[in-house]
Amino acid sequence: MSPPRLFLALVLGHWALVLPPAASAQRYFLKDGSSLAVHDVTVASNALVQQVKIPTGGTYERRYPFADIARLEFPEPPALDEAEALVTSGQGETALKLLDPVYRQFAPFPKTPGSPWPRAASLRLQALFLGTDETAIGAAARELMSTGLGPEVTGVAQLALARLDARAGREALARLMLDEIVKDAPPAVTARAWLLRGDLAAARAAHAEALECYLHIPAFFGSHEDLMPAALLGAARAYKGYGDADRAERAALELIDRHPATLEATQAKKEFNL
Amino acid sequence: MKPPSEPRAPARASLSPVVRFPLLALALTFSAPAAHAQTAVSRIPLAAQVAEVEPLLAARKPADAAVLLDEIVSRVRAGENMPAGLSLERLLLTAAQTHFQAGNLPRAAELAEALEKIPSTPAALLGDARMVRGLSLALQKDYIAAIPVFAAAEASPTHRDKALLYGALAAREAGRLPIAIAAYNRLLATAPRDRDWADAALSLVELHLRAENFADARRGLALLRGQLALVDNLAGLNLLSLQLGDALLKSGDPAHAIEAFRTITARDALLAEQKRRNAILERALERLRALARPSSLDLDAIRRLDARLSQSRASLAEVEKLPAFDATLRQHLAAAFQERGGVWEAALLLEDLLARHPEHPGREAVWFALVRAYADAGRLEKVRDALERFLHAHPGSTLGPRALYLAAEAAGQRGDLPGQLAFLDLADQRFPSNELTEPIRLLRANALFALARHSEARTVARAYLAEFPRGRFLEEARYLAAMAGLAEGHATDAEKQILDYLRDFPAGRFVPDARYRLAATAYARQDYAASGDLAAKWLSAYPSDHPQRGEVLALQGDALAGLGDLPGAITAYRASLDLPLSDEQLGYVLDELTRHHQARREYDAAVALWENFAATRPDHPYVINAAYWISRIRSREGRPDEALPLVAEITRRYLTDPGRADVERLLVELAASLARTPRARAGEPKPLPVPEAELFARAEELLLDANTRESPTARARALFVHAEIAAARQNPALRDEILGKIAATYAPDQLPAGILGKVGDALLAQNQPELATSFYERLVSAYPRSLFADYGYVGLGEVSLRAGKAEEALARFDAAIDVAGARSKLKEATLGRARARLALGQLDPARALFEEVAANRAWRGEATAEALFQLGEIAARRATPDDLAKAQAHYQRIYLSYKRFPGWVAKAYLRSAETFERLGQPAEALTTLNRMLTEERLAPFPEWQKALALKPALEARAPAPVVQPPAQS
Repeated sequence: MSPPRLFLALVLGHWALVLPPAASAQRYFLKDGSSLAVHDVTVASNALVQQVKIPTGGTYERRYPFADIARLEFPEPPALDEAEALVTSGQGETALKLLDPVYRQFAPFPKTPGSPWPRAASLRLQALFLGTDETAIGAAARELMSTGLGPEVTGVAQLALARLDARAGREALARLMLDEIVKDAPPAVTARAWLLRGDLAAARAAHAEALECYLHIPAFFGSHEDLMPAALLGAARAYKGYGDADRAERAALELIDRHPATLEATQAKKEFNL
Repeated sequence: MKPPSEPRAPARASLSPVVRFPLLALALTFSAPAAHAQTAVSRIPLAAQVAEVEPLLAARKPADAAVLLDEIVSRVRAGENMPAGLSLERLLLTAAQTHFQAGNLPRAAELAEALEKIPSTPAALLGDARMVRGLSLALQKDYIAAIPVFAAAEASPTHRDKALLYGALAAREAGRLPIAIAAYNRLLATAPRDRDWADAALSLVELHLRAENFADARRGLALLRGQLALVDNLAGLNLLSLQLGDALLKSGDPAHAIEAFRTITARDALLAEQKRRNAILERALERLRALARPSSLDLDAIRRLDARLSQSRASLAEVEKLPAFDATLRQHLAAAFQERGGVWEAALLLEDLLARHPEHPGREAVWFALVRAYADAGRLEKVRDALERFLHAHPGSTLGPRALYLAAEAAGQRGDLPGQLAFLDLADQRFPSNELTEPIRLLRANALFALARHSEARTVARAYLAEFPRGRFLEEARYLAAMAGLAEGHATDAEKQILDYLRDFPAGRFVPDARYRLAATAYARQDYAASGDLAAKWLSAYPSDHPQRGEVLALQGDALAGLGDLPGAITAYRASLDLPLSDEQLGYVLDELTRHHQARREYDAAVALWENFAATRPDHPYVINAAYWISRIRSREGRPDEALPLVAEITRRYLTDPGRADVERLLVELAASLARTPRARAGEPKPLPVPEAELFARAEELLLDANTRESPTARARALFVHAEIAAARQNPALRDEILGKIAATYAPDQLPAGILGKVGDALLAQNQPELATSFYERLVSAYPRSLFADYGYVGLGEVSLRAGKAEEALARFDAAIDVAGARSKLKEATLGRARARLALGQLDPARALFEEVAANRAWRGEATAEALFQLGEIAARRATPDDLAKAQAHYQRIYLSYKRFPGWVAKAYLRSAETFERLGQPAEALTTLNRMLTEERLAPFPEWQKALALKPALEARAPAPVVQPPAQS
């Protein structure tokens, strides 16, 4: 690191220590280029409200409609990372407790650049899915779909609805939704749709079909490492069901070897006596 | 595998010398040279001449300045004093730099070298001089000479990074890859992570690829992928990934090839992103070029940006030149999966490729690869489908025969011999003459042989010999023809052919087998002495580890047994058990040994044989046979209790697995052993039978332990033993009650095949056809090849017949015989077929089948009574006197010989009376009715009432006959 850079980093590091976290960074930037500090305004139903002091005494309200907000400058709420870890480990209820405040706080700004709401809402949907409140899951998914946050978020919501149908035994409906998803959803969503298709086929003991679905992940979505454990475990089981014990064991070994710290690897060890 | 249109290393392929050394003019900015005039130099004072140099340089006239500087250098060397403030070292450096700038590279190098040789040259100037000389040499393409110069220049803190970079470039151009790689590594180790670093890293990856350091190349690419924002030449990065993937695949590392291919971006997205990045570079370049007075740093930045943009454009152009980039990438990824054994993934990729890239020029090869992927996965239906599509798309493809051959091989490996033949036939039809004709013909002969179509196999093998008298598979065809003849029963002819084979191929690969077959042929013609002799010769001719030795020893045992030498036979059989044998041979030898031991009353030896087998091969499927035989032998000896613990222990191993259908054989044997009343001891009264409840408890104690108690299958099996005990104790009501309990407690998918069939039968007997159907259907769908599958087919046939669906019933009964082999239910299946044919009005086939049942002595019983009755009915339908007389004979046979079946007796009496009446013999008819009406046991049957109704009419037409009891059967 060159001296000026080093110096800069040290100075910034110092500031990071002495400044109160987040507060100074929390601002609303308006389309006219001005900005408002969070502590200067309150959030009303459709506008930010600022109390402006009148020099002669008293105040009046100045309203800034949400439509005039260009972007938010808020640090990412730490609750989101914590909640994501909880969701990954299957602790849906605890995650929801962390997520709900963020989800509600930023609900007026679902599409505003810089808003953490899309991530909070997506995580909330995942957390809800760990429970059994199907009404809430459906509502959360439809809310995400209707917000128009782009194909990625819409795809995640569609996928959730498909999973909901599958869970309720409405396989035909689930498959219709999945067909839609794999047509034009972004790769990350499409890959998840193939996983769910695999699960549905596996539940019907349609092992060859399940295999083809699971193997779409390594074949077409190989860079999505996060989906690989589920795909490999599904493939190992489907190979077994199909009667190909050798490939079943190979898939399980690959899972254990390449993703040793995952729940799927633990499950594979147990199921395949490895 | 050929790479996709050879995407070559873009950096190497597209760089001009200037681009390769973008900073070549940097040296010119090191210091401002002195000005100089160009004429009449000798008379001009040296200081004034020096002063003329600078304006010339400022006017961008380096050639003029260089001439002037040369003059100054020569005057100084001639002894003139240097102007104040100017040293010889500085003068030489300026002259070298100016010559460099003027393009006079040899002179620049010469001057720089002269400077380097002056011991007093300060380090800073020395670094400059080395850079000038290195660059001059490199630009003259004397890379070898440039390498050490740049290496020396690394000592200069000012020039270190550039010296490393140019040193690496020179070494690369000189083909000294290790030196280039080492220089890049030294550079990257300390350079800041910026765009220059990314350029250098990209070059280093390319070098690693060229040097086949694939692991380093992989690491380099992974590092760059983690810093994508710094990589302007994204297309170059992707092309390198493609090259790396191909190189890894070629080097036999498909796993890492897959990783490399996976990182590659699709063509459209890549082009769009590269264009975007190039546009950013262009804008940055324009901004710098627009500067009025660029600093030396700006000039350096311009050169670097220019070089980077050139490389990025070259890579972009290269990707643009590859319209099949995506398809090729997919094809290569599929190839990598295929090599790695991921044949399912390969098939998915290839199917996708064919669907998405209809214009891909390599489709023919893709089709072939798809057939191969499906074949390797053993997905024969998919193979057929892919082949059909392939041959439709490319009817005359040269890859067609290979694809068909692959398919045939795959079918053979999966045991689908008819499928294999179909592929081979298709190959013969579509491609009657091709490079694979010979192996295809031989494979066809083999398939026919394996299908036991020996005559055809022999014909095909002989046709091969005629068509290819010098063929590659002459030996195989000769031997196969002989073996087919042998299997057909042409022993003498086959023996001659085997001898001919041994004569013509004394070192052939089938010689040991041929000699064994000769011994077997001798045995087949009951020449046991010759057989034993040939077997003994075989055993002395081949080593103790020959894979066929066990088989030959077994044959020797057979021969000795044929000669009556049972001890010798037993010794040979036992010796064979210590050697490799197929399961079929092993079963044969064990059974023969058991038989001979029993014949010699060596029960303990027989039991020990099986006990030893169960102990040494606890996982072998024949362990169940072991338990069966131990139980049978001990029961025969009257010592069933001795066998029970071991039999139960073996049974428990498989009790929870519904797939082990042979367990039921053991359970039946176990139930029989338990139900048997103990033998009386000498002098003691005969023991009383053990109560059933006690036996049930004993069965549970033997079968259910901590490992099995919780298993529904095991518990159902325990109940099945109860049912079998009840059956053995002649208590069919209790048996059916227990089977009904199994049906009510356990779902069909928890039950093994043997129980499914029996429960289905019990339910059908209790007139619950729908419930029975669910058990039968589970049986035929889950265990179609089980020992008990015929229970399912016969049961379903019976249900269909009852429902009036005779055609469906016939198909089921046929399946019981044709599909399931009718191991247990041949009688019922045959009777069912006869009934179904009769119901369909097919009288002749029905009659033939009923006659088959009636003639089978082993089936004598109710089936015979029914068959006779139906034969009577068929004859009666024809209504000629002769047929009526035949019918009458059938009916009479029933009520005379099959009295144990009152239902059939009642029917037979009534039909007999009616037939007499039709024959115009009312007195005989009345006599028959009267005989019937003396048997009060027939009163519950409907025929009784009909007989009572018919009687008055007959009495009116004929005098009452004397009633006589029917004759005894």
